[in-house]
Amino acid sequence: MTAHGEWGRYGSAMSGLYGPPRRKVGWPVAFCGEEVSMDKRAWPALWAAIMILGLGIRISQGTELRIGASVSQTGPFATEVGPFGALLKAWADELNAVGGILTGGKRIPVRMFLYDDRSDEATARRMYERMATVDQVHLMLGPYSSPLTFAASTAAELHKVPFLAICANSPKIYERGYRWIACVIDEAPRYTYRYWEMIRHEGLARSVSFVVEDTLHPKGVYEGARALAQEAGLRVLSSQIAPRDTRDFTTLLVRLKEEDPDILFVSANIPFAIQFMAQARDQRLRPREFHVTHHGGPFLKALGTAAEGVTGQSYWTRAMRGPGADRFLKLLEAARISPDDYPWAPAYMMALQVVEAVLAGAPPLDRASLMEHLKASRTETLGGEVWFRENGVGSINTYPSQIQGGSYQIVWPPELATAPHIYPATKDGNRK
Amino acid sequence: MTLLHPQIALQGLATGAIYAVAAMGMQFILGSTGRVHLGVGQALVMTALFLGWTLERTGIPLGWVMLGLSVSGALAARIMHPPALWRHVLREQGDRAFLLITIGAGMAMEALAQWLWPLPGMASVAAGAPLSLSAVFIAWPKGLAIVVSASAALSLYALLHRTRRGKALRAWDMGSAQLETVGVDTHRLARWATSVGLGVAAMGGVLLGMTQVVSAQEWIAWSLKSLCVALIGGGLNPLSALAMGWAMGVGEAWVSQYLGPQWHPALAPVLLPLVLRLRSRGAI
Repeated sequence: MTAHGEWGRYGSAMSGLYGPPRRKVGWPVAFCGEEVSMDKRAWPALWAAIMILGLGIRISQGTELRIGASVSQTGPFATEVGPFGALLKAWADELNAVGGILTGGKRIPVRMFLYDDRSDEATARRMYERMATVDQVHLMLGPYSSPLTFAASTAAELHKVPFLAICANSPKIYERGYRWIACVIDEAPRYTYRYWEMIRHEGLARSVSFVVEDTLHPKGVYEGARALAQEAGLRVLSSQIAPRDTRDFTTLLVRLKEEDPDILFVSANIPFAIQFMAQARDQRLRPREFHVTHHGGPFLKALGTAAEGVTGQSYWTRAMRGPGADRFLKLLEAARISPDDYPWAPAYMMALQVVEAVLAGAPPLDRASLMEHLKASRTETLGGEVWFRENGVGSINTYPSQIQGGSYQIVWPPELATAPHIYPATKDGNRK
Repeated sequence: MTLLHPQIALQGLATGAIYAVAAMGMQFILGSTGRVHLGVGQALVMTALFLGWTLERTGIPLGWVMLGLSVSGALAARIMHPPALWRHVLREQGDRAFLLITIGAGMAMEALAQWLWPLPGMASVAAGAPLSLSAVFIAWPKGLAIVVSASAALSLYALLHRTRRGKALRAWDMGSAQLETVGVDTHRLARWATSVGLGVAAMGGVLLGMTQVVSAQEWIAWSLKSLCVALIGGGLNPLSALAMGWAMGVGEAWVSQYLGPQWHPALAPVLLPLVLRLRSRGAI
């Protein structure tokens, strides 16, 4: 055997076959069927090139902010956040056009790593693993929904990467003692507290029935809403929990018709809510008010006039204004997103405002420092002040809104309301 | 509440109509060639999604859309199942290869469907005012689904009993080698059966799109449900598929009423081994 081991031996044999023997120095490499060898003098140059390249990468990592995020561009959650990748990109492009994000008085470029998680927990977890290990991001923005965030945040915790959750408020996410997670919004049980505050203040409704999609966020919202409804003096007639893929609600609808509640509270994501509402209208279910927690644009678009009068939850509407409202609308325009179609877009803007505020505090660009600054931050955003509790839960909550004349109106609290609450919502509701 | 509320029974029947049409498509391939085609659910789901897209953008009447999509489904199936495939999978042990090929194709089609229709399809809400029978309401697309399922079963029954190809398909049980000795080109016949089967499944997709919200990932659930119904129905008999489809829909509604909606998807997989244990060739 030669000094070059097996490779050297095969190299010699091959050269014997195809031509006169050549002096072999270094490792021979097969290239397009031909053997080429590398001169010893080439090695130092190669190593130098690798070192320079590696150093280059480190330098570029040090002078840019790398942010990773996944968006459900496909799958059931696409109805809620499908085009938000374009919003995140529009934000990064806007900053990079002026030199990048401001930190310590200077600007550094922002680089976004965006993936489609297909509304699937396993895919989301894989994408966030990739962001932590391959893309080497400094900061992660969470995916949409509690189940996906539950899965994705484990990757952040494992690799110690700051993880800013956006639309994920199931308490189960924050009960695990994770240190690398913070969330823009408040916990699910308080999600509808303003709605119940309004119902108590009005004193018109007497009873409520619940229909709940059997997934983390809707169940968390329901648990809080049930207690809040009772505190508001309403009688809870029933609570029906149905699987996410339920397509036939007739059994529930027959029971609900017998119960005849004043408020029918549907805690569900959009595909479930559309299916339920379409069948409820078909079968002439007439509560005085339908409250559908997720009643965003695709819901209105799919149901048309059948969605009129439905109340639900919104983080923000145009009429509310707030810090950064004009900029937000410009970004939405650049991303070709209508805020009416995608009511969770403001929560994403709030997260981006938090990122800007944290960076403005000039933390060193390492993950631990970023996390420390993130948890300690207090930021005035579009939807109010964002701050974080010890377990990472944020401070932003939704406002009750109602579909009136085909558009969304905030109906409570009075100081922010853009239109009065219509109750009962339709003439159907005056049946008693 | 009564043993089975009329509204729940009617809704179950409408859901069962989709199961029945999907099962007829599955049964047409399975009952003749003996091959399980797991792409049936994909034909259903893609057609349902395409229906929503078509109705939103064109003013074509629903009847023409249904006919057009069913024929397109059959033609697409013909193109995607070339003679070479049949030469491969009609050999001994070829059924396993067919199963894997169809599931692989289904997954590839899912990626395509996700790309084309990232949002769930919602043609269901194109429905007008519901029909009212006493205190029972039924949306017209659901009534139409029940009628179409019965018509499809009768048409397929006639096809199998009145045409030469249909009779040859029914004779497949005697074995493809024997069929070939009497001059039947089994490769062509299998290709034809698959085209008809997937065309029927596409018709089921129209019914699905008219009555339910559907997303691209649901195809495998629909394939398995139609397989269960086809197997329980037994043999190559569209009338048995119709009966089992309707019964499954009503049965699921009943389970949903008494045990809760989370239990109804379990009915078909629970019934399947029980029925096959009692009658190896299916319930009917």
